[in-house]
Amino acid sequence: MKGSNCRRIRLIVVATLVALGGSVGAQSEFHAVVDRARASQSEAIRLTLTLTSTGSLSHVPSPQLDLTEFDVFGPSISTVTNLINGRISFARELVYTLYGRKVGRFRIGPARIELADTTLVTAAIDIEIVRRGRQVRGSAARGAQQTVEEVIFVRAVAERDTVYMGQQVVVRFDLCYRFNLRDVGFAEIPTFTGFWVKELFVAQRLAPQREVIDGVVFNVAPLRRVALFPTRAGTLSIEPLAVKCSVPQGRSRGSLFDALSRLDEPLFGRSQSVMVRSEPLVIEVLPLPDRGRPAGFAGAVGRFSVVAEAQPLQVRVGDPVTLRIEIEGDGNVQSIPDPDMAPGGFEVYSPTVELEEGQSPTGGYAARKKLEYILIPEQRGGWRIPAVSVAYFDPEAGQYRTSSTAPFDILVEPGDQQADSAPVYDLTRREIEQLGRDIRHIKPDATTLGAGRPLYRDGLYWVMHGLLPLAYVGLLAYQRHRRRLEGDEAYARRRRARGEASKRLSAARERLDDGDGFHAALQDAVVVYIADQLNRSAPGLTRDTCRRLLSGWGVGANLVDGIDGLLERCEFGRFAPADSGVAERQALLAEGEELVESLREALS
Amino acid sequence: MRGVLILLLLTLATTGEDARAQTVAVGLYGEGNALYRGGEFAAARQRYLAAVKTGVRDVRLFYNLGNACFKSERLGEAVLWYERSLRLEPRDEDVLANLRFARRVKRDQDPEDEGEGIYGLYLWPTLNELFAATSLGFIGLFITACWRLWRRPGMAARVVLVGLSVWVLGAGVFTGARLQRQLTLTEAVVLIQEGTARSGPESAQTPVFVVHEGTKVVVERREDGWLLVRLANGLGGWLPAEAVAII
Repeated sequence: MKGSNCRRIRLIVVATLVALGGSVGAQSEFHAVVDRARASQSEAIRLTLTLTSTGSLSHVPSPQLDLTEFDVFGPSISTVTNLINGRISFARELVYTLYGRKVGRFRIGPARIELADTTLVTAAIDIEIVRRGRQVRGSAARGAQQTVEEVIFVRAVAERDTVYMGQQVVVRFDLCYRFNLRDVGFAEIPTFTGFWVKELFVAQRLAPQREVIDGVVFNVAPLRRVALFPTRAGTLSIEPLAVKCSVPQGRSRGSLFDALSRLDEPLFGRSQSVMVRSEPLVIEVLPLPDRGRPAGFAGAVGRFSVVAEAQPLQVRVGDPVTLRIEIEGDGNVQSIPDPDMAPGGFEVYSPTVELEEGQSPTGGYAARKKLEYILIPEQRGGWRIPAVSVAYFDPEAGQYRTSSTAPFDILVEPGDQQADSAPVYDLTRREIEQLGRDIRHIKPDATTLGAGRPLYRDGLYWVMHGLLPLAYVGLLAYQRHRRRLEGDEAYARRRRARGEASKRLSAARERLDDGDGFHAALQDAVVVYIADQLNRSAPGLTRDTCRRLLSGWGVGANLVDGIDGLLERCEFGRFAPADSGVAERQALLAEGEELVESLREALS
Repeated sequence: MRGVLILLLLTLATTGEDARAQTVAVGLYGEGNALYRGGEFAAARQRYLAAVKTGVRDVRLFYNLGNACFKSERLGEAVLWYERSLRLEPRDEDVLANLRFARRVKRDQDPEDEGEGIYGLYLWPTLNELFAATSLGFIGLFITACWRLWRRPGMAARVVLVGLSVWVLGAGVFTGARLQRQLTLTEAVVLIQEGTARSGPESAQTPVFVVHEGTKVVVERREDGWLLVRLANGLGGWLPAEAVAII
């Protein structure tokens, strides 16, 4: 025990000294070996690169090695320190697991590694990759020899090998095996170049079923199923799908495939990595025929149907109509564009689109596209939502077809009806939210604008409000005037005096040729005017009374004398009419009018 | 009397000019609508703006202009014209809906209770409606007073007279208050995408807060090309005058 500890301590000390010393003066060797020079594509080839050196290997770079003809896993790296006869050496092993991609002869290497003071090169290794693996003796009970490909392989099956462009072709990959597997995983996934791909199934764990293949019972586990839609015409290939797994290895010598006979045994002491590939598939893709291609065809291939529903069929202006369209089929529904809905009389909002994907009864891809349009009627009347059509190519029949809905006739009533008479709509909460995703539309055209001008900036408004109080004041004055006329005789006579005088003066003018009548009328006009102004009785007014009353009212002496003179000449003229001519009477009338006007001014 | 006549003539002359402007505006408005329906929102906005320049004030014109601005990705202008529409028609459902939508889109959120409660009732009628209500009371008062000149005033006439007087007084005060608010409260909308309000009317002053396009502010002062604006939450700061537009 003590001696062992001393040796370990010495080893560590020496290793540390060598590491500190670096590789200066160290002796190094570099070798490459494989565990087999002939293998099938399914069998792993173990390539080991070994670098031994008496110096430190802590800063050794990765080796340069061309392995492009193989699928490479690893390397796994291990470093060993040996102490033999007091000398320390270091060995680093890099182990690669290789699988041949193609059948044939290939050369590995030489591998090259650059050290500080030298370059080491291994010898090249020739490898033969064969289609079939080694035949080994199976169990004694069976007494048969089997290859790896006979007991485990990936099967790729296309439901058809000739399709039209855009037509669905389902490809499935199954893992077929005859013994228990461990660490199963995808090693290579095909990219399906030239196809639009829809994944139908991907295995998360193996779920095998027993199946007899060429008279042999296999466990067959579905790995993957895809629906492929060719996007171009021509010959398209589907690359292999590769699976890597560990197979049990028997306990006895050369007993790898002895283990196969111990199917269902739970535990094995050792296992070996295996990678199996499917065979590549070739699909012939035909172009779509030009003959009979409808105008609205957008590339849909398969079998499709379209149904539509509009609710309600009777609405008011501004209330929504919901149009639901469902396009269903076993092809690429997404290649069908949304119907361009622009019926007259409606404002159409962008539809909500929902895609439901699933599988057809035959296990292929099928989908349903749901579109919901909101249409807002803008004008009353009868309007029609036109039919919706979907043109597609039916690959089974080899001809184009069109699926259509019926048109919908919508009766739009005026929008000013009572809300309680509105029909019931089948609108969901989501649809109402959909209406709110954009601003409301613009207001319609107008024949007049400017109704929004504020009243307080309108001059007419203020003029009208200013005139109302003035009108009231005027009416108030008029009412008072009327009441005074009714209750105050003197006021009423005074207000009427001028009018009465004018009438009487006119009567006098009409009698210019009648000397007697003229003077009487003129005298009457003046006397009645004085009587009305002074609220006296006209018959009792003599020239003296007039003079006295007018003087008493403060009328000027000249005016009083003028009136008195006029009355005197009228009295004279009444009794001697022949002495005055018409011209004299006209002058007298003019003087009378002037005196009446002067008197009005004097008494007002 | 001569003054009244001159005022009437001026009013009639103004009405004639208005009619001409209206004809031009109607044509531009129709062109804008056609362009908008064709998806040419920027061109539609130009037509609507030309119609606005004629001096015509109409809620339909302002609203459609707001829509054209919104579709042209001019959020601040859209809010501005929606707000101007609301000044004319505070209860227009289309304007309210689009303004709500624009407020949801813009970065700065407005207080939720704006325009609700008693303040909402205060803002509910338009100024024209208030002036019309005052005028109706005034005319009713005039008719009742005139009727009272010819008829002996009874209790009913007195009640009507007092009622109308109270109506005219109340409506007048309400109208005056709203008019005073309209003439003195200066609100504006931020037009630039992002603006930094500062503590004074200079670029070197300390930044106080950042506002974004479409936010409504109250303008309190103007000084050297800068505006002192206040947000609904009470924050105040100076912004360049060109960053906002008065509603």
